[in-house]
Amino acid sequence: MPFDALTQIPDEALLVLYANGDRAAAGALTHRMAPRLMAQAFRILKDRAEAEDVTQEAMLRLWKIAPRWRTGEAQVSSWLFRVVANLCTDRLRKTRTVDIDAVAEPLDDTPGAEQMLQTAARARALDAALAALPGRQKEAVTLRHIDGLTNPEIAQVMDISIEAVESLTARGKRALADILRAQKDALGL
Amino acid sequence: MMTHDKTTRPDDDMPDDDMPADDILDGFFEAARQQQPQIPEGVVARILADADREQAHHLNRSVIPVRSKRSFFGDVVAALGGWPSLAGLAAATLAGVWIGYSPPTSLDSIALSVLGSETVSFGGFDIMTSDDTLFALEG
Repeated sequence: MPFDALTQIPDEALLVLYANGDRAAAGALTHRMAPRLMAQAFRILKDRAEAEDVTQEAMLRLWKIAPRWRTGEAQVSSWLFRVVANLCTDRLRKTRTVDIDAVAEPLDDTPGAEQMLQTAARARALDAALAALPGRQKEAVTLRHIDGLTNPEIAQVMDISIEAVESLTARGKRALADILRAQKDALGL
Repeated sequence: MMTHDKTTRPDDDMPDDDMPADDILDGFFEAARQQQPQIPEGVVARILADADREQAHHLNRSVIPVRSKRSFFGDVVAALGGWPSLAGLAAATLAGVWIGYSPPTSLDSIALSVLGSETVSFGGFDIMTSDDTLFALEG
């Protein structure tokens, strides 16, 4: 099937096509999911190479389970985000603690560099504020507002009800706002 | 009807303490999304190579014929329909032997009406009618 024709097909249908031998379906799923998984993994691990490895590993697990995928039981995206979260947790347990200050800053003198520095500073401030939240609130807020998942997807990833997701994100955002309110003006917001 | 200038928001004069959380956080979330790294083409290529390899593996595995590891006796049992059929067959055989050895009284009346008035005993078993009914039937 041509790649363009696959862009409107749901994830689960693409996975069935892949399991039945459609190579283009794998390409469509990869281009749809891999960047989001990479962003999620990088956000957790703060290491580009490790985030790439985790993304590849998560997609490999999807390819392996494709012939046995039970349609209607879980969303492909939620399943993948959950795999990435678990893989990242395993790596963090095995290797190290995350040093937020170790994230590379864009240091150059090209036009827009000042804007990039300010964006990086805002992201670091948010990161520090997120670190102060309880773990479940942090995870829910991040999945919703940075990774862009829907509430039903987050409910599947975190194995909780949609109402619990809404509660976690609301409380998390209030706490974040309390922390970041004072820094808003200094960061040009 | 009250309208607002698009360049200003109705809560621009609102003290920060009363500002909704979304208004405070939107810029921070946007910055975090911009900081996310792009996935390199090399990684995409590796993922697609994995997909091709796994797909070939699945498809090959689904068409490879599985050689039978059954013994000759196993083949015979399978030809008869498996163990459930074999159990039924054995039960029917035993029932037949038992009926031949000790026929129920109602069977005698059926045998008489079908085969004739008498049967020939051989070694305790009634095996054939004694009259010429069957031979007569053959002409």
